[in-house]
Amino acid sequence: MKSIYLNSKNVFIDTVNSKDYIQLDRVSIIYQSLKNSIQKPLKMILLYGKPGTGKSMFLTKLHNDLSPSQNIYLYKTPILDESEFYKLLAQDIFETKYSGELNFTQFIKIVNSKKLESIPVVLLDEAQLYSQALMEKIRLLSDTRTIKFVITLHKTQKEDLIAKEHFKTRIWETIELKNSSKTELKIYIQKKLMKANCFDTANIFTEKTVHKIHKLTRGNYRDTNKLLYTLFDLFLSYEERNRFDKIPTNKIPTKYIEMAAIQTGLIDA
Amino acid sequence: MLNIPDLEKRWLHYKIKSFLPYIITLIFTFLIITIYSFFDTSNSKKIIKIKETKNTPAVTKEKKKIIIQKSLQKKPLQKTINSSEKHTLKLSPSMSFIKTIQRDKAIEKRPVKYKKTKLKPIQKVEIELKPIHKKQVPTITIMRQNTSKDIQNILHRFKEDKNPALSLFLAKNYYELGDYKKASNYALITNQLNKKIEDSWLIFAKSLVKMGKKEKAIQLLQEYISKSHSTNAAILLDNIKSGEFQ
Ligand SMILES: Nc1ncnc2c1ncn2[C@@H]1O[C@H](COP(=O)(O)OP(=O)(O)O)[C@@H](O)[C@H]1O
Ligand SMILES: [Mg+2]
Repeated sequence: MKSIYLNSKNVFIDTVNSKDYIQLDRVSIIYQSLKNSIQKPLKMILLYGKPGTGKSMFLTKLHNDLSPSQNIYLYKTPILDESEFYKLLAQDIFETKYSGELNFTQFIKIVNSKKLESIPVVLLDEAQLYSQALMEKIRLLSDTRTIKFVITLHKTQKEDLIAKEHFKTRIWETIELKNSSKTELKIYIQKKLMKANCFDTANIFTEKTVHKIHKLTRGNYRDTNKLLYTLFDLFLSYEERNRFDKIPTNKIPTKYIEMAAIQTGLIDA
Repeated sequence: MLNIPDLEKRWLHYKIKSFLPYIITLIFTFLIITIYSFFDTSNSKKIIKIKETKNTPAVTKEKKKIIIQKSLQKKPLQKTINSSEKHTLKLSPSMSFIKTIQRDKAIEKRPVKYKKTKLKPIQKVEIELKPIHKKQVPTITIMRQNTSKDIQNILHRFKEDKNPALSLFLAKNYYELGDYKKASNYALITNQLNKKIEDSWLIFAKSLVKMGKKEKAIQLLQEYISKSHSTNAAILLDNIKSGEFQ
């Protein structure tokens, strides 16, 4: 018989897939406002937050939802080379293949020569990895209002402030994604498990357990995924060593959460 | 499969470590209490005597404090009344001024009071300092500052995804941290992944100079410029040759 913990463990593999998206109140509000913003004649939308707050998930979901009705393109990994970047956009949006180098002026010419029915939306993940020069060109491009950009930016604490100041002075809309609260984290964990039909394991996440997890991960989704993946791995390991007495049935002892945290490096021991 | 015995051992270690401060403080307070109670029983009589003699002046001082506070509270009231008087009786001699001088003199005569009145403005200065600290924060953080956690994160991701954007990020960060060996290493890796990324050439050359391999850097840049006609590389080459960049 396959262990029930195996399914639960796989629920917390750190991947970004739009079908795994979980509706959380705060995130849903932001999501709605972002969807509205895209319809507005705003030039650019900046989504920023610490790693693991769900930025990539957000973009993926947005792309998935809007692609049937809108010209929308998602670039998950950054394209460093400027010419490469223009060529890709030319090909994807304007169906223009270009061999050899393509520079900014040439690209603008292509943009202006093609008349599209609606303004295409380009989603760029991990914009902090693009060069300053290319970011400036992207800004110029959005100023022409021929392409709308939604970009995500991972900012560390110190950079947060600069990011805000820098982007506020321009007419860009900025949206910040944050770590989850305790209540949200509980919903996140339980919904995720229930989506995969792991009802039994969903039930063992009591208030106290979630409190402990939140204390360790500060509500960061990625850290929570890692922690819970390891926690179920721990149960599986006990199971394989036939130590069934060690496996909880109705609640999770703090010890196991701490052990998983040590294993994932959330606790330094 | 996790290494359960090892993990359990580490957990035990962690538990002991996290309880250690509590145990130490507990032992410490216990020790202090026992020592204190030992002295307390032997010297209790003396302590009481000292306390008795010390108690009386403390009380009188407190009384004085109250008197000062009362006189200080009256002061502003009188001032406001006088100022309104001035408006009605135009040229009356300002008696309040004389009064305040007299009072000030009286205060000066009693040094204890003087000190007390001075304490308040000092506290105000401390409060005013805080906003200055706050204002300084944005001016300090002008440049991008990535923590070592960011680097660890990108390192980890680069292992899984050989994206030149990631290796270039590492090269730049190591360069900024002054780890020129790692910077040049990651610049080279970036370059192997994509020859066209100019920054990888520039960082590689700059790292070489920093490691004392100026000639090699010049040679490399010349080679790159001949292929790419990059102005940024030309500027860097000039700066290296002139010694402006060291
Ligand atoms: N709303 C959500 N629903 C389901 N999973 C989410 C949600 N938000 C974040 N996650 C999960 O958290 C992890 C980190 O999210 P990710 O989008 O990669 O963060 P970021 O891009 O901000 O670093 C991913 O594995 C993702 O599956
Ligand atoms: Mg991401």
